[in-house]
Amino acid sequence: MLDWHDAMRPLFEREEKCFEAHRDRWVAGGRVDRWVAIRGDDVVGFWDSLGEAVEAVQQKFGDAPVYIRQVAVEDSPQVIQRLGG
Amino acid sequence: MSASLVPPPPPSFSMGGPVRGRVASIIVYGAKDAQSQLHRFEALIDTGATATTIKDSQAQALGLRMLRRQQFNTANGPVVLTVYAMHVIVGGRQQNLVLRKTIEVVGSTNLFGEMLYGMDMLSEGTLTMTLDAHGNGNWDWR
Repeated sequence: MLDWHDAMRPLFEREEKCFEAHRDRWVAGGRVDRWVAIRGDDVVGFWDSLGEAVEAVQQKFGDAPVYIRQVAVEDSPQVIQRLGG
Repeated sequence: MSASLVPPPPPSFSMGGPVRGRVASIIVYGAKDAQSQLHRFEALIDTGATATTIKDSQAQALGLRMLRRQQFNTANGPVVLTVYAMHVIVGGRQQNLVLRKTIEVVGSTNLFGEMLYGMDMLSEGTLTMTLDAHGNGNWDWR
């Protein structure tokens, strides 16, 4: 039986590749710190805050999964020491 | 000379509470969006977490929107976790001093407690803790 994380593993892999393929161009184009939404290979749009991005995506796609992330030059390490994994 | 000094702007929020045994917690209200019923969390203030974290089961129960999957470093090594969006309200000492915004929260099946209040939120202000030899004292965040 798949656990929750195994079941979620394939989700957003395509959108992650799309994000990485566009990141350098977005950084060079002044999109750093803006929030981008991606569905499949399609870039839905950019917003100044996560709240604006979520609201716009909810209105357009309802509860369907849409990849949302803040554009950064590079990913800083994310640490949660209290989790066992 | 003193006439040219500009006083610092007042803090937009001010919160605080007791620290007991080096453990400090803050009450956070969270929901899917501003229209949904709020759930009350007692969140552990955790300067060792870069991201605010809740249980996956709670994220699903609240119907939080999944944003992506992302790798995190934990005490047991790297893991890939789901990141959600949550509308949060954090109350202040005065009713008009409230932090209200949509933030990213990380979902974990292996979380001790209800919520970890991480540096992503704490960096919105300045956290000060005063502790005695027993790890008891007060925290202040503004």
